[in-house]
Amino acid sequence: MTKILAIDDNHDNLVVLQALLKTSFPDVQYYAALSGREGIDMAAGDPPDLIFLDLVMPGMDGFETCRRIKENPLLQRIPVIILTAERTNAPSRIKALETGADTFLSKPVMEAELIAVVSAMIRVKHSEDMILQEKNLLEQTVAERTRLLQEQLEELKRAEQKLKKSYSELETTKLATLNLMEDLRAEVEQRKRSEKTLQESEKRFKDLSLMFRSISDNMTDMLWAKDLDKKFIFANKSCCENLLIAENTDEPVGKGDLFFATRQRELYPDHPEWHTFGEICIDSDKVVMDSGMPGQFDEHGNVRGKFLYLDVRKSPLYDMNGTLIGTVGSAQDNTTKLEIARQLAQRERQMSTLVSNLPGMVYRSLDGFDGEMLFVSDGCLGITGYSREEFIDKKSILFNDIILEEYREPVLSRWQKVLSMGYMFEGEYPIRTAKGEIKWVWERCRGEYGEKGEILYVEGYIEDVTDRKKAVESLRESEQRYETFINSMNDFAFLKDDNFKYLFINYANAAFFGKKPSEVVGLEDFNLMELNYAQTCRENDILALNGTGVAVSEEIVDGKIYESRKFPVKLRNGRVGVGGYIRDISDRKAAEEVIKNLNDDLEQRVLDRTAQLEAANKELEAFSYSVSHDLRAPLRAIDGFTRILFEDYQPFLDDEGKRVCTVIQENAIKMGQLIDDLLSLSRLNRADMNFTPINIQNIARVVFSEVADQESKHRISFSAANVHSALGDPVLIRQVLVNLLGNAVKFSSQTRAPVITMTSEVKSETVEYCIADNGAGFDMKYADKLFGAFQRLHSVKEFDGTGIGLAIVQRIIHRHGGQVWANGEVGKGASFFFSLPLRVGNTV
Amino acid sequence: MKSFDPVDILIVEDNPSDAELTIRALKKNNLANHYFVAENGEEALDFIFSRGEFAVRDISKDLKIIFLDLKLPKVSGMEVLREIKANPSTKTLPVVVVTSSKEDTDIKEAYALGANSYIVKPVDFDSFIHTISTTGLYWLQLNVPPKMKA
Repeated sequence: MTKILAIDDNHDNLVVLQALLKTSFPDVQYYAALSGREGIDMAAGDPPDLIFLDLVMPGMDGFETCRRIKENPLLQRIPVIILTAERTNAPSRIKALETGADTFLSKPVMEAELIAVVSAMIRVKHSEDMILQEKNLLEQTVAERTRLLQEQLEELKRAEQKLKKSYSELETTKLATLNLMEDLRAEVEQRKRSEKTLQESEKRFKDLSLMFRSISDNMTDMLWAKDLDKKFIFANKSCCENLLIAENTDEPVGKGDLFFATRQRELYPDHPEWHTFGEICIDSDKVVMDSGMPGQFDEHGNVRGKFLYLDVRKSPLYDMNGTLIGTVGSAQDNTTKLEIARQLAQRERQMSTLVSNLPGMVYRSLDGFDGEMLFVSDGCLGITGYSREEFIDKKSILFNDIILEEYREPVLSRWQKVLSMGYMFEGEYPIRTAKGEIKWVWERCRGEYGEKGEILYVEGYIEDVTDRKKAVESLRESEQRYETFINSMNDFAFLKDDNFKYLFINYANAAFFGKKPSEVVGLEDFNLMELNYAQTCRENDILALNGTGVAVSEEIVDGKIYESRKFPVKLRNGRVGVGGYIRDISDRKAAEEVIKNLNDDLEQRVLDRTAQLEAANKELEAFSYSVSHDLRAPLRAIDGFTRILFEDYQPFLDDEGKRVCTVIQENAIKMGQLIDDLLSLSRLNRADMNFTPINIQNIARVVFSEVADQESKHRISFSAANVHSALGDPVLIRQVLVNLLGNAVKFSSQTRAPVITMTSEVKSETVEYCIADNGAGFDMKYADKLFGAFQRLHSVKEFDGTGIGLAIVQRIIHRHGGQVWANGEVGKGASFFFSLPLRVGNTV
Repeated sequence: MKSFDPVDILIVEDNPSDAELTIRALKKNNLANHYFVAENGEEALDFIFSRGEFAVRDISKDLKIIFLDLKLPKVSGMEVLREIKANPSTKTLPVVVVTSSKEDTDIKEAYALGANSYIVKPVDFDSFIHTISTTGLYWLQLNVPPKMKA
């Protein structure tokens, strides 16, 4: 921790200074003395890192205090800052610095200056402290090292003493030994000389052997020597590696060919062709030894499963005395040469096959100005209709002559020009074949040049391109057709490249821009339209380009609506462009708008009408309700009071009076019945329909048994068989059957042998039901009145009824989406038909 | 202010003919000794709850049966039925709805409000007399009502 001592007789100064320093150096330990003497004692007791010193103090003044501090060896390194308000003139400052003060600050002092000075002093003090510390450490280390070295020196001196003593002892022994050694050396010297002569001759021999070995091992040919038993004396590396498969060049010595052959064959017992050499070598060895003459042998067979062809030379081996001691041999591996020759032959064969199978003809001609052929491939017959013999052997035809006359001169002059410049000729021209046909051919050829650059020969290829030419032509035609077609459209069509520049545009589209198609190609929309339109088109282009299918959008330009269909198109260069098809749909849009308005209007009218109908319905309901309630009350009164009249005034009524009362009552009841029927008809319109499958046959049978009284059941022959089921509201359909069967029973009541049958028939979308009777029947001219409410075709006397039953039937069937009709004849009977839909659908 | 003899039958009926026929039917069975005919719904309610001109009527004198027509001037029969059945002091009163309406909706609503019977007035006098008589006999002579405290 940094410590600062301040010496000042003025206590306030000390406090102010401490406050200043504490702010900037919070970690500093600060202490103070009120006089010079006290300050020096304090510093000696606890040395600070920095001393502030006032100059004017009672007793010992600042100069004296500073001098004493700087004289004290313990304190002299502590920086002293003179801080004073008096005696700030130059002489005082010089005197202060001469006494050893490090710096001089006059009051009032700027806080920043004070802090800067303090920081600098502390830094200097600390660096000095550190240097001092290092110096002390160094001195200590040197002292320590010196001590150690002195100790080692002492030890060395002791060791030297010991060595000197041993050395003098050794010296004595040595003298005795030296004499003995001199004798021995003389003898060894003699022996060495004779040995050296021997060694030198041996070395020469070894060197020679090594040289021979090196040379022979370096050769690719095989070399060997064998003894009379055909066992190897020598074999070079190539022989060991490529023929014998020996472990090293020493292994063959003492072993025969069969040893190695057998070893190889045993490695691959399942491979009879693995190694076939061995026996042949022995055979040729024998030939050479028997004849005593050198010989050449073509030996071939398999080594390690691979064919080996050797050119072998063998000679008998004689020693210096002319005695046969074995054979020597060498072999050259000719397998590769053989293989190359074979491959060459094969390639030649392939080439020739290829050339003769080419669709076109390959040729080689003289310098070519007249087209005299040296070679033509078989293809010439197919192309020209002339055989190769006619071109080459007989030279009865020149190729140039079959080029069509009007093309001949230009083709040949270009041909010569190109070839003589050293380039390859390529071109198309027509020829006339032997049969007189015109064919287009494509030719590519190049020259073979002499030393002076003159053309010696020409080699080339000619192919029939008539079909290709035709195809291209027809493609062009079809393209033109399409273009004409597209150009005749009013709609716009275009193709843009991947940079949205027009590649193609039809007349209509170009005319839209006020240009011809050729003027638009290469431009983009931004060159042709206002910025905002072009921007929209571009966005749609990008959308189409990144999509996979057709991007449909509407573009509005100058108030017209265009439907644009854009799609990615693969271009010839492999990139993707945009194709487009644009149609002015302003008229269609307008028509759609009209239709939409009409629809809206219609919907509104439907809504209005529905509301009206609903209101009418409500009214009708209210009406029905009144009818049901109010119309009945007077009837009840008429009936009731007639009865009262009848009962209470009987004595006053004669028979006619009583009959009149009865008539009144009957009519009142009749009217009640009418009201009930009317109500049920009106209720029908309101009842909810509940569609379920209905077994109509069963219901018909039950209903019949209900509507027919006992007597009728006996009299009437009723049948309802194979009647189909249907979908409908069970309650309502039952009502239909009640009314129709009730009618049938009623109108059969006066028939002698009544028959009622119910049948059904399935039509395409409906089931038709028929209830037929042989009763009273009706006149067909009234058929249209049958189903009207309160329509009756019979008098009440004949047949009872209100005339509402069939109206109810019709209402119910119509609500089911079906139809109802009737056939009849007076006195013969009636048939009532109704149909019900097979599926629930258009119901009312 | 009127004073009344004790009444055990209340006939709510706006049609005087129907009222007369009803009374005749009841009389034939000696059931119509003490009856009162209210000609509209408001009068019926005033009578039942001893209000207005019927304030002096002793409410503790129990009505035994109410014959109630549905189609009434002023307050409808359904409303009268609702008030009778909503009030704890009158909800045990037997109410027989007697009406010309055969409408399903009327029948359902009447029973939902707590009607004790629903009778359709027949046009035929014999049937009418028979129906009213049977109903009257049942409610006035066979049925045992709960004892009511005033």
